Amino acid sequence: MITRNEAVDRLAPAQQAELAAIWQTRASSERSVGSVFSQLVAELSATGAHPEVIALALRAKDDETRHARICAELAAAYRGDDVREVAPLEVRLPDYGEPPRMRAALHAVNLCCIGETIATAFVEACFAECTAWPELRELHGLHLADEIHHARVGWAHVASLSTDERAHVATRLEELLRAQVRGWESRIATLPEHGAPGHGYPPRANLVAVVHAAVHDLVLPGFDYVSVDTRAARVWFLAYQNRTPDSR
Amino acid sequence: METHAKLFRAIVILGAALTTPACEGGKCPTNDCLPNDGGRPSPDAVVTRDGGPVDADTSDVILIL
Repeated sequence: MITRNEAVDRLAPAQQAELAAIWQTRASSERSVGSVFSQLVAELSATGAHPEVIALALRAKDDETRHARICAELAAAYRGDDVREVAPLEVRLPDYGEPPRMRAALHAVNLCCIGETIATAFVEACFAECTAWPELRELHGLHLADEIHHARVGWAHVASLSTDERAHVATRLEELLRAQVRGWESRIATLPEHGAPGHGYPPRANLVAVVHAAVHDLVLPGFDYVSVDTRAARVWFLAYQNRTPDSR
Repeated sequence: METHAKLFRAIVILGAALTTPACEGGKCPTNDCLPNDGGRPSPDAVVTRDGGPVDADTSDVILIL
């Protein structure tokens, strides 16, 4: 159980309330991701995925339930009251209009290769910002370790696909990347503009830069590494990064 | 950038290695190897600063980051 720290007491009441709301929202989000991993485990199992991939995805499902509990405890610590349980939220990944095996592969790509890989960089940036509260820093470190395992689900699965299957993944990569980058930016837009110094949230602009750097340094080179053609996705991403302020 | 290089190794290289046979003498034993110096590394081929094999368990992650 997380205990409220004096670093929290030193924050203005409005900041405490803001951070409590952020962590409560993250608790719901973690429960949603757990639900999505349940779907992925079932799909991977049904479509003959490698046992290592299924085992990792199963672990991820359990991790997300634990993360939701931790986020709810952090929300309670910032509020200064009891933990509010997070109701299970049933979320489904898109159908994509593909046969089951390719649909499972695209879900692994979307959720793990892109989403969870970006998450590792995001949590790493938050980890570096946890200077005021040692327990919070430790929690982010544990979260980061889990996110690395979750991201591996996708890379392990894509590496096990046939050459034809990887070629088909490449045809859908741009749309998946586009949705993920915009989704991350939308979520970041709900965070404090100037961050929460010492409490794990860098300023918004820094977090957007972290997401873009993760795509540039991890996601796109990752697909290159597992022989998925990234040319179309790179063209979109470059144009997106270089868009004029008026078009944003 | 250095952190991302370590994350890339921990996530992509070790992730892909989980489902791919390790290299044997620099030659990939499959016909479907990826362009990575003749084949993929096994997880044991990627080591931490103290020379031990990397695992994403907490202690190792903290070490590699």
